[in-house]
Amino acid sequence: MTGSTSAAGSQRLRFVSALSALFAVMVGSLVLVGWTLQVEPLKRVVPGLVAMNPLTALCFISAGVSVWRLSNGGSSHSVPQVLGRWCAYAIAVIGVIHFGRYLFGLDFGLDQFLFRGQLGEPGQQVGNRMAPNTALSFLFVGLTLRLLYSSSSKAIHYAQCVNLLTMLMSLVALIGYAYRTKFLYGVSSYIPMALHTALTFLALSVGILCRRPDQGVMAVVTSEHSGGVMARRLLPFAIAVPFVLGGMRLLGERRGYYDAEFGVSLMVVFTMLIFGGAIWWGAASSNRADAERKRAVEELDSFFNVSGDLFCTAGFDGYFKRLNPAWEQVLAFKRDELLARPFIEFVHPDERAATVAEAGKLAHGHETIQFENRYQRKDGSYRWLLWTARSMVSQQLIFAAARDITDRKKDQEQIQQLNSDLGLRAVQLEALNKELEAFSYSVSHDLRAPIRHIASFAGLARQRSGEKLDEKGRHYLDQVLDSAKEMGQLIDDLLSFSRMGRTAMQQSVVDLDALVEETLQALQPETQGRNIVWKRSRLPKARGDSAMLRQVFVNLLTNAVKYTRSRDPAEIDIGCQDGNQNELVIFVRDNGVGFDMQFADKLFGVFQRLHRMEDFEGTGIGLANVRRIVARHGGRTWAEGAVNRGATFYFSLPNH
Amino acid sequence: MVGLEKILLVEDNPKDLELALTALEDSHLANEVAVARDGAEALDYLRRQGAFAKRQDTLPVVVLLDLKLPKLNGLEVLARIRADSALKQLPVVVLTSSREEPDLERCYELGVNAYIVKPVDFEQVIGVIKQIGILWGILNVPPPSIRRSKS
Repeated sequence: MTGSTSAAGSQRLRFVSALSALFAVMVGSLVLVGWTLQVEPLKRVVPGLVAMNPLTALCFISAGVSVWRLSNGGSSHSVPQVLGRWCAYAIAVIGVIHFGRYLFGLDFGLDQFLFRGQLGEPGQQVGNRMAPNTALSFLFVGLTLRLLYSSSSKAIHYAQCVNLLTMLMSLVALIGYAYRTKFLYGVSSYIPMALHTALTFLALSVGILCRRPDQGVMAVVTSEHSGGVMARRLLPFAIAVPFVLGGMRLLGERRGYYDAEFGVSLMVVFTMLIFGGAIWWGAASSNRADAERKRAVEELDSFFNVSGDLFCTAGFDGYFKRLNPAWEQVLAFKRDELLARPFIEFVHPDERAATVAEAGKLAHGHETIQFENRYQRKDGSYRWLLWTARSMVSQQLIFAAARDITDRKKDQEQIQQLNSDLGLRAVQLEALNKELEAFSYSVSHDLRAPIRHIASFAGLARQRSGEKLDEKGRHYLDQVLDSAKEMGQLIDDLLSFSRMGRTAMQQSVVDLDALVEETLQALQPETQGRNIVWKRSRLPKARGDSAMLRQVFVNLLTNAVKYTRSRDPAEIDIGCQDGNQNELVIFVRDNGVGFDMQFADKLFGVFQRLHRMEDFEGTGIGLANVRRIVARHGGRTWAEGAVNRGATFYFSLPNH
Repeated sequence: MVGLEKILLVEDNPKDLELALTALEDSHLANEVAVARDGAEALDYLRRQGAFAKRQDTLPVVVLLDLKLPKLNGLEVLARIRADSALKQLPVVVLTSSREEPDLERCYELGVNAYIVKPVDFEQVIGVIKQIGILWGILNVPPPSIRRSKS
């Protein structure tokens, strides 16, 4: 029954408790001073009333000390704690002994020991003794304190009940004094409880109640729940209303304003009225609080029910207590099926140990945890859940929310798989590239040697023994020489094509106009003696590998010059297409022999030729190189043409 | 006498060897041509060790070095020549089938004096070897250490 009292309120009540302990010690001390110095007001407060017995005073000091010690806590074997406990025992024993005197007539005369000879009471046959209700109250106080020194919640509960008896007895005596009804403060013919004794008992019992405000009986009163609020509102009425009304009734009767019957009815009516009103007030505010609470609960319930995430409460006993509808949707089990078995049975066997460990942490009050595990679906498959949880140890409950992250997990796995595949592919490509390099190195060295030998020895034969052969023989040798030369050219072209795909690109800003200029200079030997009309429009600067782009122009312009051989004049345009934002399109147009558009795609293939060797020499590597270089720049290559109507070759470079 | 300067031809392929010797013969060079058939033999010759321990003459005025060679390849031979204090000034001309970039880079890094790709065409082969013979065997003035190298 703890946990619902506010910390600040608790602190305040402990302060009241300490104050009451101080009050008891002070009253006891002052009375002893009064006895010592014969100061009557200190002994009896009001002249004519009975004085406080010195032993009673001593007991109050002990009780005060005991309550004070109680407030300081510490180890149960520490000196203050032991002292507090012994004070409690002493008070109880003194109470028993003195109450026993009245019951059994056994008189040890302990209350006669101090200030013997001064204990006579004016107007009384007996001397000052400890009153029987005082003795009983001390027994209760001693018992209460002893019980409070044990920390079990049951003991505290009993202690507070016994303490209520003390409070009741002191109230009876005080009301007696207030109403001047001696019967109430003095029990029959015995000496009465002194006024300040009654007051001090009241203070002590209040102090003791405030000592453990959030435990035992007091927990109900100090609770922050509506019951506590109601108790704190109504209790003052319960104490004050009857007291005041009773007093007024007595006063009126004694003064003769009305008789006893009228007084009783007056009191009854007022009691009804005031309590009725008070209860109505309490009920109204309680209703308001309840309505507010109900609304809040409904609001929470709506969230609970509407959520796509899985919410649950689970007990420390390992069973679900409450589940939201999302559970049924995600796991396909009925709610009852989920509630019927320990939740660990739904967890994937691989994660059970970890789940139990996490639940254990929660049971030890670890604030919030986050972890993942798999839960079984009705169809036997598993869903990955990401958990957030916290516990309430006092309620033995775990509150948890889970999100179904199965799809996310799957995506992650897929991404990982793809990444590793990609990594593998890269390694394979790397290896393949190495192999290709080794291959072309080998071709370069080993394939060229025999061709060279064929060419060289055939050449030697032609040179040294040519006269011994007839015309045909010489022709055959020439064919061998030609073929060898051709083969050498093919190998060289193939190697350069392969190199074009492998060498690293050296990016820079390239002046395309300057490249065209250089290329035309280099083509001088081919263009000499030809009638060629060049049309050039300005080309912009572009980003790329200068050497590679030069190769593109060399190949395209060489082709244009070559395939316009039969034209007079030949016309060759070099230009740039407008109106394209994303790419720069360059073209080379000629009025040469052209080509059949159905072979347009073949043009850019390796060693693809559309003309006979006798008409136009070449290996068919040029345009393949163009396409490869442009592709490496991120551009495209295409061509348009018609047989005998010229051709236009295009390539694009992306605009950066 | 200038004409008696020696050329060392390092070549494993007998056909290439025959062609080279024919070309050198044809160019009527007075130089004597020594032949080594692999990288190790070339180094032995230059260092006067192994089969060439008794060699008395000076170092060759130029080494014509193929790259693809048994035992030690041309690059290794070149590296060892350049690392050898007695040989490091020796003019070395690489004469090979390949114009692969890694080979070119490595050779120039190691300090080759010339890198010649053997042409396929017979006339050109003869021409190239003739020119090499004239340039390195006659026109080029070899480093002084070679003249002093007679043991």
